[in-house]
Amino acid sequence: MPAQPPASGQTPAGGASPQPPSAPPAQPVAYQPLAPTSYPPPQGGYPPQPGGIYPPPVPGTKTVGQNTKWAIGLGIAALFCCGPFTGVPGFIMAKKDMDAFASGQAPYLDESAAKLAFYLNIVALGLFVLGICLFWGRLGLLRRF
Amino acid sequence: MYGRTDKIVAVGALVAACAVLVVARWLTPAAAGYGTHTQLGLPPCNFLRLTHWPCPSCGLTTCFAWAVRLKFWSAFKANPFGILAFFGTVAMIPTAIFLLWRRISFRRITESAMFTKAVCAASVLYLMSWIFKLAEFKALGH
Repeated sequence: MPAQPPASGQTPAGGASPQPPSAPPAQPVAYQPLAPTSYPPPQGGYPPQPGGIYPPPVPGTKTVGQNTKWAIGLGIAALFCCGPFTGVPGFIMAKKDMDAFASGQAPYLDESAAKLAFYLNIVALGLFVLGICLFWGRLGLLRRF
Repeated sequence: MYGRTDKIVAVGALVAACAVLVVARWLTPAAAGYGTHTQLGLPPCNFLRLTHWPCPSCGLTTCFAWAVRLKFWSAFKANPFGILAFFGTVAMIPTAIFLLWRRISFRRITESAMFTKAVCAASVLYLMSWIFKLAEFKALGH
């Protein structure tokens, strides 16, 4: 015959001595939500969202824009080997961040970095043109003498 | 606001795209797969001269010279990224005409988030194309 579960109020072992009355149950603790300032913002502000949309800025911080980062990379490539193939896109990308800063759409952007990228690309393009001019000049001299 | 500068940029892009395709047709593609641009009086690649390895742009002119002759496999072997650049140049002609006709500024393209993504994607493809070119260079034992 299977064992019957103890009924409510009975002891499982069928003990004869009744249990003493226990302490009153504790009051349920009310849920307290965490304060919204529990986590500090990351160093250097939040990274920009994909698609060129930047989140609201953290006051007092300057962020190097995504366009500027790409422009610096393209400018370095233009300086060493790629010339106008990366210099022109880099120039446009840097100008985008400079315009965004100048129009007040993105005052949290680091304008100096955008300017650095802008002039880096201009220098790379200028050196490319200068190299061609020097080469042509040398050819002209060689033909003359 | 459509201004005179926008018109100059659109006409400049149209003329430049046409000129690139005409010049590419006029050039004879170099057999080595790079160096076609020297036919224009331009200097040889300094990166190649100094490092003995091709730069990411090496073979672009050769690629264009093959692509305008509709020899796309030869163009791809010269520079894989050049195929994309070639179709971009071809697409520039109707785009510039459309922008001129509808009086739309080029800034609407360059200031869009899509342009940023396109530049990023093109840069990655450019890098991949260079890796392909380096591997090909090594395999051919130049």
